Amino acid sequence: MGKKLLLQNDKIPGIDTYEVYRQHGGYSSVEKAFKMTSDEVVEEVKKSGLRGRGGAGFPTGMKWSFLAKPEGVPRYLVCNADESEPGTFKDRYLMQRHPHLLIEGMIAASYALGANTAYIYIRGEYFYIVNILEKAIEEAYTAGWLGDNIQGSGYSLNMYVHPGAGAYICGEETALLESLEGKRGNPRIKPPFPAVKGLYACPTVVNNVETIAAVVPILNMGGDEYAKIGIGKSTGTKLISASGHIKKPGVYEIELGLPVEEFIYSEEYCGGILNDKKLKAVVPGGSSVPILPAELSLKTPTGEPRLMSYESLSEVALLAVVCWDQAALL
Amino acid sequence: MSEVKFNDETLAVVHNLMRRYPEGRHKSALLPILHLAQAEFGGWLSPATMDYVASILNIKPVEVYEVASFYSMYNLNPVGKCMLEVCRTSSCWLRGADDVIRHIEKRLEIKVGETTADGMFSLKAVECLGSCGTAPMMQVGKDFHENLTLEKVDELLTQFTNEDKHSRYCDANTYRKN
Ligand SMILES: Cc1cc2nc3c(=O)[nH]c(=O)nc-3n(C[C@H](O)[C@H](O)[C@H](O)COP(=O)(O)O)c2cc1C
Ligand code: FES
Repeated sequence: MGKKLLLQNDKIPGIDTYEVYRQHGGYSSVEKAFKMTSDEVVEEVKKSGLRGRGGAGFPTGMKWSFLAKPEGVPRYLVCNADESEPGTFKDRYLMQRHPHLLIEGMIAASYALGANTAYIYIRGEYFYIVNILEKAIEEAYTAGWLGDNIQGSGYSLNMYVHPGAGAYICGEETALLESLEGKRGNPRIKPPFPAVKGLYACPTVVNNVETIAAVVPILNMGGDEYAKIGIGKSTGTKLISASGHIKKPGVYEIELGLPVEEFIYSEEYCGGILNDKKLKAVVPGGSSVPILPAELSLKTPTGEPRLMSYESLSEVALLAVVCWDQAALL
Repeated sequence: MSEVKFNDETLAVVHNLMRRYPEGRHKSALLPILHLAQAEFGGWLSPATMDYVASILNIKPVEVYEVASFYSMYNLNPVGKCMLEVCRTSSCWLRGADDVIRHIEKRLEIKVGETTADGMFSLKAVECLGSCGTAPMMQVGKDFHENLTLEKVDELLTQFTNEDKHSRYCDANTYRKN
């Protein structure tokens, strides 16, 4: 069995409720964070080697350390839950089944950044998940993990869900911020970067749902331990959306560095091609990236096994794998 | 045509939503409020509805039109009570989305983009809705109907016809109350 750091409690009934989530160690990363300074939390994330799970793979700790901190200006954390890359449904899975994991990560991240307001920008098509998140946020307020002076720490945070309304481009972080300001989702010219002028022209960090959730195991186990998982500069575990002509479509958590072939054929993951046909092609990351023919998806051009890592595949490929069988292209 | 005005419960939610954003930044609430307006005023945003939303947010009507026309979930023309949104992107297409669309077109005697003569159904083809692992799928209001078969589609259409309800993405209960 591969290591699980996000979905290890996936089979536990009621894990989407606060009670059950807390019984299984939920919110302990926030308790840990409050015993540290915010800079120490950023340092821990740097040590973990965590890279953005939204597509570009930028080191998260570094991104956080770029956040401008002018005196008297609010800072924001915005969670990118737009998930509009075709073939991708991992964030939906995480939010639907583990809403408190996202909320917990958001609190720890906001504390690290010194943000007192955090928004979850979710694609409008996911309205049923807005219900789920609103309920979970309500529970977190009631239990004292959100609001003023959280658990007596002196730190305060408000968290809100904000639905989009159907626009693929709003997954791009500056378009997302425009949209969150109630405008058309037209991307902004960079620089300035959101870290300096983001939401309402204030310093802002935009992170993907899964990136923020990964902060929870990082703080719980420590950045150094997290960095031991995975391969090279692709540390930790990663959620992959698998669909198309495979036996078991779904969301799987893999340890980075897993061979693509094992992912597609092993019983633990996709279980092979539907009706045992021959694999024709893999679309890594849905429809906005080039199709890889079967040979090139399992092996690199030099004949090495292709691994699921930022180095061996294009970044978006780490979001989704769509397999086509022999017949599909005829 | 009756006056465009949110009922009291929705209006309270609207004012709560506006408080989620900092002082002077309440225009941020435009998208969620337009969703509520579309749900409450017949499934589409008429000019009167958009003017009303502008007045609530104290912004120019043109600012609302500009935004409403940018996002695909807002309907700027009347639509059927029940909006069938079928995904036809890669994974759904590999798993038979075209058959689903053809089947609905035949049964309802409309094409993609059209509304049935009785005003009950509209059919829309959409891009990936994040349901690729349970393809093919269609969204109706906020509900995802997944792993569709033609039999399942027939059952759903019969059910929607019998229920005779508006499909909606959200309502006043979607958001927390405080
Ligand atoms: C066209 C386009 C679409 C994007 N869509 C998404 C998306 O749906 N979700 C996401 O998290 N990031 C998306 N991104 C990446 C974001 O701009 C941004 O890099 C990301 O939210 C940063 O988070 P991370 O560092 O945690 O990955 C998109 C980028 C582009 C250019
Ligand atoms: S391809 Fe249809 S839901 Fe993703």
